[in-house]
Amino acid sequence: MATDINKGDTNDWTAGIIAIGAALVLGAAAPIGIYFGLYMPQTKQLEMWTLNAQANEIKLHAEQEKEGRMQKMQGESDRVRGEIEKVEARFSAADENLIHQIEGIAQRHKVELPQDKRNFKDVMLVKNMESPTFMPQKLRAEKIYIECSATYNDFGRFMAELENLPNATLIPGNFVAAGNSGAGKTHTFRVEFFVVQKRDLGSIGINVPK
Amino acid sequence: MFELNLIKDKAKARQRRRIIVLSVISIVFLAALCSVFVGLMTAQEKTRTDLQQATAQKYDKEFSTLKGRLDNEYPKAQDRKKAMKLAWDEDVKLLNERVFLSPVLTQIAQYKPARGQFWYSEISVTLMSTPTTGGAQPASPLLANRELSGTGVVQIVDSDIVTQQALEAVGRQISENPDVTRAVGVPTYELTFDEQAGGRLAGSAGRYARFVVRARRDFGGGGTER
Repeated sequence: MATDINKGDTNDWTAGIIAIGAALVLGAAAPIGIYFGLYMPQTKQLEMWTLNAQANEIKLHAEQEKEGRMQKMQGESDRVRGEIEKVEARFSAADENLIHQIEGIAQRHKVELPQDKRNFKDVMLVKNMESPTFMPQKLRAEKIYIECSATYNDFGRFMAELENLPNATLIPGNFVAAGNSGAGKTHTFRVEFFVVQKRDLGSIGINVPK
Repeated sequence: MFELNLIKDKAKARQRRRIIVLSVISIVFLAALCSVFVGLMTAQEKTRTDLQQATAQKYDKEFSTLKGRLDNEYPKAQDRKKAMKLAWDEDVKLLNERVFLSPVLTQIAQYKPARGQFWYSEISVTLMSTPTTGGAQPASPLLANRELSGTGVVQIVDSDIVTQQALEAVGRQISENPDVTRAVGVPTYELTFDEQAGGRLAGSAGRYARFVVRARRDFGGGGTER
């Protein structure tokens, strides 16, 4: 009888230990399962996106540096444009104002422009619109033609003043000074000038042909 | 006695069950606690992953936008800078190398042979349209080479040779002015002994002869002169 009772004790412990063991196994399985099933893939994803973000950030920084260089270039271009504007303050169009200015200078230096051709709208000063002169970088000049009679010294002063106008740049082209028989010290002068024009600074560098 | 033992056994059995149940409950509790902990870590990782994903996508979007803009604007900025620089260089070159005729006219008027009468009949400056040997022709007539030519009459007081030397001296004096050589080059004078132009003028002593003057500026290497 006592043996039966002891046997019953042993069976109880065995079942209990098995239950405890099962609880241990099953209980450990849950966190381990979560760890390997959810946590580990998540860390891999995190690693992948971290690398992705780093790569994208590097690419973005490279582009931002390029943007910085571009802004620097734009700043330099604007600075050069300002310098060009200063230099080209001396350039002008061969317009009616310039022609009147030339006529005034001629009058002051006793340089006689032919009476019948004195009007700008006629042909005293031929503004050659058909063949504007281009420099390689599109610097334009218009040609004007002056025919006049004066003494050599007066014409020299007239030329000097024209070549040193503060508001226009006149570059002489073909020039002829011929004696005028029967006119004493007066000679006939024919000279053409290139009137250098201001650039359209806004169009510089736009639609540059490749 | 037997009953007492039975009561004792029941108490022991109850205690055993309590121990087992408590052990199982503790284990399950601990397991749940671990699971919750791992779950929280997983949730945290998920949040970080989402954040990194959002960051990566934000960078990618910013990159794409910026790249699209720069692909369009960067070459234009390069072209503009280059064109501005070329325009500036061209302006400076033009203003530095432009030709003035007034110094030429002044110098021509200033110098003449020491003895005898001397005057010019015609003076002309011509733009040269074709390149000259030994010099690169600039692309624009604004800076093209120029050729001076002229004719005149000189009184031969002493001899032809002396007069020729006097004319050469005039050429040298004129060419001492760098503005002249920069504009038209070095002038050379030459007697032509033209029969029609020669002879005596009424009421004057000595003979008269025609002379020609020529100068040509060869534009090369930034405006060197012949």
